[in-house]
Amino acid sequence: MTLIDDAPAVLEVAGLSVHAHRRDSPISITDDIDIRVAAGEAVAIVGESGSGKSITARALMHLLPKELTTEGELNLHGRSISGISEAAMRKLRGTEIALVMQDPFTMLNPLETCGAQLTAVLRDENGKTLSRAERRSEAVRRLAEVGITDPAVAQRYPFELSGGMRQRVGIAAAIAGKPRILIADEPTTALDVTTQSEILELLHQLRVTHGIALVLITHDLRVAFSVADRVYVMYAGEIVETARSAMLDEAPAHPYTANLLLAEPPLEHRVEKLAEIPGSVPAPGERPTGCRFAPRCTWATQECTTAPVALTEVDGDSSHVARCVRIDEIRASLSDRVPVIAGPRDESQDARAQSPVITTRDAARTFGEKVAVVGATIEVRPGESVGIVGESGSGKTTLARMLVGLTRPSSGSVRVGGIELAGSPSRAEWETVRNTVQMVFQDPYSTLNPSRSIGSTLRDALRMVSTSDLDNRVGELLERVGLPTHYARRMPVQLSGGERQRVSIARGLAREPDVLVCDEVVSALDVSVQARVLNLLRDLQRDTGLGFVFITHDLAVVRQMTDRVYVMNRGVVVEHGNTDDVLDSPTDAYTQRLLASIPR
Amino acid sequence: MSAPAAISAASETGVVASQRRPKARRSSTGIVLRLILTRLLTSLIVLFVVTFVIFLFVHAAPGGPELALAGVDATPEQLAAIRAAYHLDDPLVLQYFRFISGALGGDLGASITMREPVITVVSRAATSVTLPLIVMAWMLSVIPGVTLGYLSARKRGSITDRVILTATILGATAPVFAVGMFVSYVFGIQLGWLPFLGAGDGGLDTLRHLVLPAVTIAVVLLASATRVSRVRFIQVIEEDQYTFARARGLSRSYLWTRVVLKNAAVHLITWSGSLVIGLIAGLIIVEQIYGLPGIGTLLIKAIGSRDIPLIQGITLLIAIGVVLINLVVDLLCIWVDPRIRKGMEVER
Amino acid sequence: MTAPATVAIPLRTEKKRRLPPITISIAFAVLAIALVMVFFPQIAPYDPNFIDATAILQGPSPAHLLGTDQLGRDVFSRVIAGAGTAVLAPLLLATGTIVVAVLLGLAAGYARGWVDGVLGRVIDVLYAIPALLVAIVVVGVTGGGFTMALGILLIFGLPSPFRLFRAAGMERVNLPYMEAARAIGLSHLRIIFTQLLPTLRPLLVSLLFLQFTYGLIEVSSLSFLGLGVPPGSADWGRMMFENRATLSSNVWATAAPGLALVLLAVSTNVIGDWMYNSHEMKEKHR
Repeated sequence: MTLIDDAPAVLEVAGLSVHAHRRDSPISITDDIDIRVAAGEAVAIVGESGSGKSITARALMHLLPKELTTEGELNLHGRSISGISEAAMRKLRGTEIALVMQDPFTMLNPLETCGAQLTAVLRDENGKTLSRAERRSEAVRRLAEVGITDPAVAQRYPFELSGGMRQRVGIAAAIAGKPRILIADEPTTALDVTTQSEILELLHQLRVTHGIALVLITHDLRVAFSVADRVYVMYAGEIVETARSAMLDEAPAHPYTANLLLAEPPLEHRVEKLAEIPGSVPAPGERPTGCRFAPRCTWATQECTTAPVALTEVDGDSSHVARCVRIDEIRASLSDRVPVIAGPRDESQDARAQSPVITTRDAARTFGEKVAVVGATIEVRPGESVGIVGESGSGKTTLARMLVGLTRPSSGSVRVGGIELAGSPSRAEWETVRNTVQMVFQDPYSTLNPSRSIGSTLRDALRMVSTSDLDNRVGELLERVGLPTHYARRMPVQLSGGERQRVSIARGLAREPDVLVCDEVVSALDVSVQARVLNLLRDLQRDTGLGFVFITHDLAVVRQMTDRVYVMNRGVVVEHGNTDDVLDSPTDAYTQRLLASIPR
Repeated sequence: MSAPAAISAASETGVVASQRRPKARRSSTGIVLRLILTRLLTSLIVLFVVTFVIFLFVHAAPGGPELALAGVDATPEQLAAIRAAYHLDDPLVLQYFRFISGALGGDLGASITMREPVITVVSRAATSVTLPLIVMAWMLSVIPGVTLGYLSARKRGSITDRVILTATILGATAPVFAVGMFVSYVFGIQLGWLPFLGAGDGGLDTLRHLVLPAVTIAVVLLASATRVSRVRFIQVIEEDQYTFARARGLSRSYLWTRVVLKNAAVHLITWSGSLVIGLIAGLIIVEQIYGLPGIGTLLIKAIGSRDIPLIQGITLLIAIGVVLINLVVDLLCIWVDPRIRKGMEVER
Repeated sequence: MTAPATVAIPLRTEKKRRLPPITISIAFAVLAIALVMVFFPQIAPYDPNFIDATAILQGPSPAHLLGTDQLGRDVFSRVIAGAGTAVLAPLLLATGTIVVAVLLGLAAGYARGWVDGVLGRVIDVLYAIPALLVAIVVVGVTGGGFTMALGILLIFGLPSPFRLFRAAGMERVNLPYMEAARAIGLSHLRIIFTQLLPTLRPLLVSLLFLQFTYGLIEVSSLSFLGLGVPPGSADWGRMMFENRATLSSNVWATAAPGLALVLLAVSTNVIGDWMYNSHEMKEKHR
């Protein structure tokens, strides 16, 4: 364990390992985790799914389920807490070390008011619970600390508040006991980008005013860099690199970190091809003996696979370590891998001239009292890639569903392939519509029917075009999305998230549509897998002239994937134009705010 | 930098949009009133349906009370006279109307076989036997059941848990009459610990006579209570809110009362309501086995002798009881769960 | 966004309540024995209706394994004969209830709108009325037989499974794969049969066993009260009803059918529970 600076450590973790016991043979979930947090410091633990970062967070709090065992040294303010009793740990939780969880919608007790939950841990000097008046004033005070100035919120129930506000209440509740270190497990993943930046700002402020140290768990490197002084990168249960944020951003030493940085779609400019990471994360119990990243690493050699790798210093800097045997050899080439910036978009005049495949005019949709979309007017021409960008509640998904015919517009016009969807299209007309636009959905884990094989699902779609030669056509579809043909026999549960999403794309292609509506298709995927799916979509467009409507909240994805973009806020299209123009010089205040909220 | 599926999709449909920004406060009084009114309306329909259906069947059945009254040797003239005396040949609708208007005024008519007002007969049976029986069975099952459920949930996976589970499967599934025969045979006949026939001489003696019957009912109730509460407790324990409460260092008693019990309350209240309703048939059986002169036995006798007013009266009163229980359950749920007050659909 | 499933490390305990294999094996064994008795009633040593005035209320002996009842009939043979109604009646009831509940429940959950509203009200009313009570009154008063009893139990037993399938339908109708099926252009009927029903298959099977258990208890409760089955039939509930008074002479005349009932009911309940739990666990591991 290397000393970073001389400030006393609030938290010191050495050799932390978590095991699961499956039929008496222990499987290691995380191995040999070393973390150090100085007083008032902010560190981030970054990793994709399967990295073990959340497990580590729980292990620090002794909140793991009974079936998992922990080993290693855990020191809080110099006191060892590795093997202490549950009763002793309970005294420390909330008062010395605290946890804020990911999902603000399930974190709070739905049956108690926010104020009551906030003040539940408070005691006066004699250890007694506070009087009602004291509790009320404390609740209001603490809520103000987290940016909630309306005192009535203390009397509200969680379900009456928005996600962002609930997260603030959660944070207030977590630090109510004035702990000296706060572990935040993906505190902003469930929130919009604008809310996210507010919460991150809040956490920063709390660090300053209360002197709390922060351990931020996240999958987003950019978020980590914007908040933390130092970052730990985890992969497959291990820490693979640690460094100061700036250092990690400029010159990562481990191939995984470098790849992760590259795989993030850049916001500033369009790249020719997004960097993919082939393969997938090994599950616990299936990890290779040598370097765990070796099977997916471009620089892997024989020596990488022989034995487990230890953390070694990079460039003689004690604050920068990486788990790689070839650090020095590949240092130079790692920094060489700069993505090729794409040339200016080829504004094909033909596309401009052709009549649009999809047009809407003042299309609106209301659900009872709630107005989801207010008069949207958009256009999609053949071969074009159009983005619809907005946060949750913007109406973008409702609009997308109107384009595909899953929802009827309450008013206005939606014309697809010449057919007016706001009227009552005949059966034949519906067939035309379905041959013109198809949709790919967001959640890869519910987009495929779990009780039907991949082949059956694809056959269902293909059958609508023609019933002949189904098996061959299924094979063709799978190949087109880069999956082996024998996958037709598999069930969805056997495929990874990225693979399932590709099957979903294949299904969308079955009817040979002119436009594919992609509703947040990569939002639920890890960054490394995201790149693969986005590249696939781009290739499809290039090879077949397929058009896209790209629904997303992620402006970086918009930059990479779209020619034109519509920005939506609260059901209204507030701005639209060429993607580069809108992103480089936004005119609407909302668009500007959106761009400003993105962590750089 | 991404939002999970459920949230963005749901919010786009506008249904959960309110989750994303602070809602204007909807009038909870208005919603509560609407809920209660709906419940009352349904209850009225239930009462109507039950009484009418029973009425129809009872009158459509062959034979009538006149046979039971006059005996097998009665002449047709005598039978006809009895029928006329009780207006049994009037049009059905008229008879039903008479019954309803009487019932609304609190008069349920007189029992043909027992020659006493139905109300008197029924309340005697209820207060001396049936209601004390229900209360005893209740006390013997719900509290111990929830406690066992708590134990089982806390030590889930352990030997204690498995033992409790195995025992409850037996208890929850064994038909009431099988348990009744077993209990009355073993503890009554063979071991002679407690009386197993009749209701005794009132007061403490009656209570002694009610022990075995109450235990019989309680066996099934206890098993069911344990299982239902265990399942719900475990569900809550596995939720994020429980982990977050633990992470803040809150005490075990806080976790169990303010988090687990509170969040399980709606489920348990709803369940116990439906349980009491299901108990009714079991009551009838148990009273038969132990020869108790309660409402159940009364009903069986009335059916046997086609004592129409008595049948109608008992069924009506049981239906009213059911309706009241549902109403109480609804009110309790509204009181416990603020989400219902605001109109959200909550899983019961 | 952290993606769950195959690669993620489960934070929740996966071990749901699981019954030890022994209990399940015993349950299946009991079921098997019952089925044998149903399909091969010839294995009974005596004619179950053969009245032997000389052998009244005898205790168990080598000639009569479980003794005789008050009409001299061999109890063991009557228990075997009773397996028929004990298995077939609840089976009929359970199948009927589930079929109707699935059709109505899926219609309500999938179609929503006024269909759901109407059905919902009707079911609410039915829910408040105890099935067995109505059955007792109606069958008792009209002297109706089996069919009437089963009919009443079916109708009044609908609310619970109806709500289950309605909830299942509502949960699934807006899932992406269902929407995708609509976007592809599949007809609603096709969607219900090829997309919705297959996901409910495990639920249907486990529910069949559980409804069987309730049905068995209800039907035998009715015959225990002397209703629904003609006197003298070798129905387990009826046997208990008829031999109640003679508990002290030959307890086995009452105990044997009672035991058989309890064993069968518990076994099907165990099997149904077990299937339901293993289906639930599969759902969690997407």
